[in-house]
Amino acid sequence: MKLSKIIIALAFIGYIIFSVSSCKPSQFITAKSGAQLWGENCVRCHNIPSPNIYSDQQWELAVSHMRLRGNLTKEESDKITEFLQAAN
Amino acid sequence: MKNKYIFLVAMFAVAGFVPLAVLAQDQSEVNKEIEKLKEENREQNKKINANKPGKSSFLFTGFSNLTYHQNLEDTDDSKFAHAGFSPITIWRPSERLMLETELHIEMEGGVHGGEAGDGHGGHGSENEAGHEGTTFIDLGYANMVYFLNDYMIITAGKFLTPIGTFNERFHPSWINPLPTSPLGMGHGSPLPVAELGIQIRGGLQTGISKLNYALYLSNGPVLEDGQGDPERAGSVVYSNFSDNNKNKALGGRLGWLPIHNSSLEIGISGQWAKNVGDEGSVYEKVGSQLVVGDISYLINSTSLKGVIRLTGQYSKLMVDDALYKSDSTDIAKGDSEFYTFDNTSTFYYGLISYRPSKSGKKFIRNIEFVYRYDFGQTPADSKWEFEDARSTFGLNYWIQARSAIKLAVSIGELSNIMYLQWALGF
Ligand code: HEC
Repeated sequence: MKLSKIIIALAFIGYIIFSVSSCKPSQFITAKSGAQLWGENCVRCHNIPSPNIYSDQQWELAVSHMRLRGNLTKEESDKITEFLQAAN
Repeated sequence: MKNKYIFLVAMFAVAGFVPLAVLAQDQSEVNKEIEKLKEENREQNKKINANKPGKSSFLFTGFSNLTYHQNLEDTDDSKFAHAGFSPITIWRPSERLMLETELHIEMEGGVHGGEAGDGHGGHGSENEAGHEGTTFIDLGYANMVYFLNDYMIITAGKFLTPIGTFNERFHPSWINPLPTSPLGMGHGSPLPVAELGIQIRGGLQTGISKLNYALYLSNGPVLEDGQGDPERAGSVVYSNFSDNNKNKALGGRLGWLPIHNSSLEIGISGQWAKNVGDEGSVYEKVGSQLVVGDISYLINSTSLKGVIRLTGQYSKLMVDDALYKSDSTDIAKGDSEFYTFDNTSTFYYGLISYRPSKSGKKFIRNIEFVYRYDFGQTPADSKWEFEDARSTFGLNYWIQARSAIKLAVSIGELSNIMYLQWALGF
């Protein structure tokens, strides 16, 4: 009983936030740069490791691993990999 | 006259020959230089080719920690309580295929559950008895991953259970901002950490929000019916690698990121197992349901000069009621032969942390303040009845993005403990 109330409350809060935020094109993944997607997604679970810790090839692996762990979309992980490979 | 001509011809011949000779000499030097460069180039190419990546690639990573524990009420109870080393390998034989493995090597110095570095414990189901030091070697995960298309990843093997967020995402010691796991979570705890089975998962954008999903089929939990260990009768164990019945457990999680910058995620997850008892026993038809809600929110604020992180998870584990055999000593004392109880366990936590990462001073930027409230309750009247609520205050210093010294004081109903931990991701 208690649980269902919590879920409804969470869904409600989510809905409010969703409806308040408007749909500007810059809010879509396609319109965002790799650097921006990196800044937004890679801090969600942990501190963001510096791009220079890995080589290009190592980043491909690490970001694939994170795509799995964090359910990132393919577009996000491709753009982030590209950014990390340019910034390392 | 003739001599004059001869002289002139000779003069021209000499004048022509000298530069030609010089040129020829230059040319041979240039040729030599070219040969030398070619040789150098060949050498460089050899070196480059030696490191040329093949199609298959490999990454060795992982984390480790050392935790010191001091009981604040019992000064004798102070020790290096836990040391852990978790190497991770990621191997990608081709673009779509990946293999992830993690090993847990842990040394635990005779502590009660819920105190260990990268989550060993929670409310310990196996290691609660305050036993002497033990070394665990455990396969964290070994999972084959196939990136099928933009929206779907298929995995098979032992994978981190996508129930809630703590066990799958926050349990490594360099990620968890406190030295302990919340009650009920982490390795060896009542909630599943890793299971054997198959899984599909993925993420997609819908409008400005994002959705992600994970759906899996696993061996599911096993009911401890009291035949083996009467003290654990009625509890379920998820590390079920030799399935005790034909029924599999179905589980999954749905996550929603309503804000376009992915700062908020709300998740709901659960696992249903129709039969958790041994096949052919009276407990065969006992089932279990696990329902979990989770939330994570990240506020990256310039006015607050830093990052605020909020995470929380609420988990409820329900196992169908069953009759368990009473202890012979209890029967002698007049108890009836069988007993039962409402087999529901609840675990939840809420955590807030603040790191002034936008401060002008480096020392201040690396400091993090943490507070967590956690609660755990297993069924009253069961032999493994347990209840605790703790407030934990933490102060961390981040040496690097993946390395921190964490100091925490946990004030609980059962004990007050101070922890000092060094965590390192490598
Ligand atoms: C859903 C949470 C989550 C997100 C989002 C996330 N990570 Fe991770 N990350 C983890 C966890 C958990 C680990 C620990 C390894 C494991 O899962 O066993 C980790 C480990 C790592 C490591 C160590 C190497 C490895 O693969 O284990 C690196 C580097 C890393 N993350 C970078 C990133 C980058 C870059 C991004 C953005 C694309 C990212 N992370 C997004 C959860 C996350």
